[in-house]
Amino acid sequence: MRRRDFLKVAATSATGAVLFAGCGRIGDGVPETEFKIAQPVHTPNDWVYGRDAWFATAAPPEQGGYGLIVRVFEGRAKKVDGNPDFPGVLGKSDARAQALVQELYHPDRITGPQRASTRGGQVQSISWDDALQEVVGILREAGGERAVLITGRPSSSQAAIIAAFRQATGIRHAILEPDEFVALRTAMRRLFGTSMLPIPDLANAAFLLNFSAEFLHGWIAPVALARAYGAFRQGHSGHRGLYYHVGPRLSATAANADRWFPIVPGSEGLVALGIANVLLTEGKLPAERFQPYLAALGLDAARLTSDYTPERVAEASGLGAEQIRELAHALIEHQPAVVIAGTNAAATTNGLFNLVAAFGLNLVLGTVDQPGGLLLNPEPVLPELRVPDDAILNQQQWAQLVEQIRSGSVSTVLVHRANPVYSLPATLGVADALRAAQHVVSFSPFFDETTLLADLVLPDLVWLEQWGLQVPDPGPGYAAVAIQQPVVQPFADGRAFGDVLIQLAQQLGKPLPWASQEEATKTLALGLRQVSGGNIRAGNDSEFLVTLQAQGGWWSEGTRGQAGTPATAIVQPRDPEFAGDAGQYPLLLLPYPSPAIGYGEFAHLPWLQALPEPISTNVWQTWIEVGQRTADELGLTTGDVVRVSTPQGTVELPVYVNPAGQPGIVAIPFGQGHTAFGRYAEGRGLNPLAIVAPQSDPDAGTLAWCATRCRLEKTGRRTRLARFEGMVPAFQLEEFPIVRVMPPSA
Amino acid sequence: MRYVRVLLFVLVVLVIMAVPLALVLARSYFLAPTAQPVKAQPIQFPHQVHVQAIGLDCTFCHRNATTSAQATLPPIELCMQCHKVIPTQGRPELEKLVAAFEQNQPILWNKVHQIPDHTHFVHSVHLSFGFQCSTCHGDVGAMGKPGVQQVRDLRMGDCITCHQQNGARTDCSVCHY
Amino acid sequence: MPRWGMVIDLDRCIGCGACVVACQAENNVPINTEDVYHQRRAIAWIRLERYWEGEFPNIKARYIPVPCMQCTNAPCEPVCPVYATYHTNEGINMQVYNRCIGTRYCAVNCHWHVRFFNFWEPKWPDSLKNQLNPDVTVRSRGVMEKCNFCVHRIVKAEQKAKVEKRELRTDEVTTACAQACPTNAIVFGDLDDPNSAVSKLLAQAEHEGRVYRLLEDLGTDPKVYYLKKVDIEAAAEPAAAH
Repeated sequence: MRRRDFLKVAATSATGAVLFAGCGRIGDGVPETEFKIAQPVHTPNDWVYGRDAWFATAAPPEQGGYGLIVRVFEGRAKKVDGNPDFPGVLGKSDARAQALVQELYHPDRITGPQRASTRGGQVQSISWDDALQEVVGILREAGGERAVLITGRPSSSQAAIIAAFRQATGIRHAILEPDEFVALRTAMRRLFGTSMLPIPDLANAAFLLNFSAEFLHGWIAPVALARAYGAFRQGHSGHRGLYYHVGPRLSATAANADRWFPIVPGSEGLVALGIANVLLTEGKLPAERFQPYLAALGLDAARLTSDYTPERVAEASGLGAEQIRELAHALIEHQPAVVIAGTNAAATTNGLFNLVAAFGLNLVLGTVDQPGGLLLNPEPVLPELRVPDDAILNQQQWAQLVEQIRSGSVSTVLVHRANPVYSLPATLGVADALRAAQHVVSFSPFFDETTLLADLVLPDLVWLEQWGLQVPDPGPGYAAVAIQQPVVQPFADGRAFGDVLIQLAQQLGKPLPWASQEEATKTLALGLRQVSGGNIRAGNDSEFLVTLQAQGGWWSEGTRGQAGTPATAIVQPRDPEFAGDAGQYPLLLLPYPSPAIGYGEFAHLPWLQALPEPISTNVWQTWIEVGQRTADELGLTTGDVVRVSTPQGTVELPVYVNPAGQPGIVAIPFGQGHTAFGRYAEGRGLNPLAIVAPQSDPDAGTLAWCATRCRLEKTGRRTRLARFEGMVPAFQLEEFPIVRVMPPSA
Repeated sequence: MRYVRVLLFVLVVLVIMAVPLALVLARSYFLAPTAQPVKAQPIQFPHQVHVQAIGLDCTFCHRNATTSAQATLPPIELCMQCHKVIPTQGRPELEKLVAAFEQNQPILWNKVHQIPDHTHFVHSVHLSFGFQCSTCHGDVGAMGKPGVQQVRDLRMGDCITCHQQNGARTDCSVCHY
Repeated sequence: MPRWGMVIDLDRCIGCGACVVACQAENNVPINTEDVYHQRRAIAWIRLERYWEGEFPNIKARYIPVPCMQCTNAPCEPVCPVYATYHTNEGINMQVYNRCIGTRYCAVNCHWHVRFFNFWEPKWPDSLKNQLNPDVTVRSRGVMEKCNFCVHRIVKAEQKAKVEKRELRTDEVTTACAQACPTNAIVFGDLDDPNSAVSKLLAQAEHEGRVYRLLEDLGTDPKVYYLKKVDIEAAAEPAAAH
């Protein structure tokens, strides 16, 4: 007798009849199929009933593009993990990679091509043939120059297909990336002459100085950097890496630092110059090392020594002069040392200067391309795999493009895996421009804000269903390519974006060199066989491909990056500026990317929504973090609803009182505020871009979302914050030290 | 006399309390898997013809029994390798098979051996210790139409007894996780 | 017979939550919706706690991942009236779902609060059910559930070894959280095997004086070992008083 039956009998025969009556049928949720066994008609070769298969594939570019393996059981993807062989990650993964299966089986995936009767109105399903026909018609009519293809950062093989499509049709390509990465790429390109991002060799470093970069939670290579961080702390017996964090907020990453130096937002570059000043005046480093640094910043030694003394820097940055000396001394005492900067540092009105001044310190320390220093990554070994830098638009270029769409000089917009309506500030008026455009075609697998404004939707496959090649950016310091292969049959009637482009070109009479995305991937992959070095030994092409797919990638430790040195001035020192009058708006607003859902691109995945933000432990919503001292002054406690006013607008948000918050600074996480994008993202929280003033960094042209002042007013209302803290009674720290801490052993 | 009344009362209470218990036990007895009639199947598959007459081994069709948790049913493809040359005229059961193959429709069989909830059973381990399929499934090879019947209890008591007799672990977590 | 244990190095832990999501993916833990958080009934077999220390500006936020401690003398076990929670001979504190009648005594008696009760039938949208792990039971309403060191992975590895007629190899099996952990902060293995990663790590950390266990004064002998966080600003602890 089964347990459920027992309960049923017991419940209905004894007093339980009354007690259990209102609780629904026991055993709800047991599907009929539990008592059936399906006998399939065919079984694929690689599909054994009852046994796991692990396939190697690659993470999407916005997660770092590293190698993954996926557990597939009876044709369904179950679990994602890091590829144990792939350089940099060696079998490790993160929450975002784990959640990729939820994208695959998301209940709100678009099931097939759709046409909207009116813009933003009802959609109806159409066939793929009709959908392609219509897009071909649109492209014929619009011609090359009058159409633009907006994508997120494409995978390397997609970049090759898009490049070929561009050549065939003359369409314009625009890549939408978060502003901090646009600024970072600009800085790295100008500073080191490489379009690939560098990676700090943390595993071998003795000291890390980080200016605001969220390098352990998101940022450019979360898994590779986290893995290296583990080795940095405890990987070598005898010495433990030391990490100092300079930044305006005790972020999830900063909480791991040995020492946190709270500063005024945007003063990262200034602090870097203060450190350089100490290093130069104390003469601990050879003076000629300062030449490229000074050249990049358009300074000379005299100006550095006179204008950027620790005392002057201390005044503007909120640190003490001694602290700046301490930072400089730590860089000398602990060698090799590496300096990185990013996130908030890149999103102020002097973002490019902050990045150049901070990363430039690596030149001064002489640790560029040295073990334990900043490793430069080589260009992709095949030129086709390069993601075109000129296609990555900054805020000013987006403004121009949106204006062109509005005015009609660009009549057709194709959007793939980018959500400009959500990701670009409302002041640009993207939504209105798209409404004015003649045709909008979306290739998104989800109805996001942009897709809702499309006439036609040709849903792409999700990453686990596609072929492709990914050059992880940043790579592990040497050449590496991950191969992406479909691990399951497509779950929806989508088509890979590359396939669609190839079919469109075919029907336009301008065929691309490949017949499908799969063929493109394999042809490009065979190009790797011609490159000397590499981990794959194979006698012929098919053996090469099989080995490549089994290993999940190609890498060659001999192919390393090379440093160029900046000859001319890249950027002048610049002070941060904040929108709003300090008297009227006394607080600084500091938005930050959410560790789980980033800038909102992962907001549709329930596991990531439900993952507590490490510091506040809040979930599923937007809140405003107020430091303890500021909260006391305003009489606020966690759960109070406040009115947040900036020169741009006013919103209401619940307060989270952060004991580590700096006085005078309030913080809001990015990621929520979706009005579409599936049941898990829709209608929760707020997109901070709605209240951020349209400030930009004049050097990089990027949006400075960290340059707005604000004011808080109590509404007198309270709300319950969904959060993890308090879920279980907290252990008492005084009686039982839960997290025990010890000083480093000598 | 007083004691008789009390005794009577206690007796009546006990009888009332025993009713649900008796119901439970009776239900358990009458619902025993071996007491069930042969389940109707979408196709009346005669194991007898395939095993006794033709002499196929169990693992010829149930290919993964020795290597995986499930013994698994073969794809219809495998059936058709033989059945495309065997005439189907006038044999309704075979026609159903061919129809399923041609219409690309999987066949949904009714599970005969339904192990209790929250239980994991692994074929491969049991077979690797030398047990025969017939130890649990009985002489399936002799079962003809309408289909297979469960011959062994296969509830927890049965599993545990066998585990104890053969020195296998009887830790809960061996099967329940 | 192995004795399974886990070592969590707090000096490596960065609080990223990869373990939390990996565990949910592996063990069919229902989605913790906003409502569930409001009800304070979120289920996280391994959870990440954050502790504050000090005051601004000398404030520290410290992370600690907390799975079930798999106590050798587990306080949750003797209080179960139906023996639904018990100790396996490999040292895992198991929850037998079909025995559990939902008294929740075990949860009350657990000092680490790592036992979770299914107040409602767990629900997923139909399409997301494709992700569920077939090796792990989906718990129904009214039963307790908890971390069990991914016992299905252990059983699977042991069965594989049996079929291949060999012993379980050192570090052949690992838990989902340890596999995902990007900083290698979580390590899982056999505490009785001197060659296992956990044993080696413990031996070395013991030498450095970094080993401790959560609430070990309660005498339950947990099998999850923590390695102390190293902090340059930490005061040297006085030598053990006893």
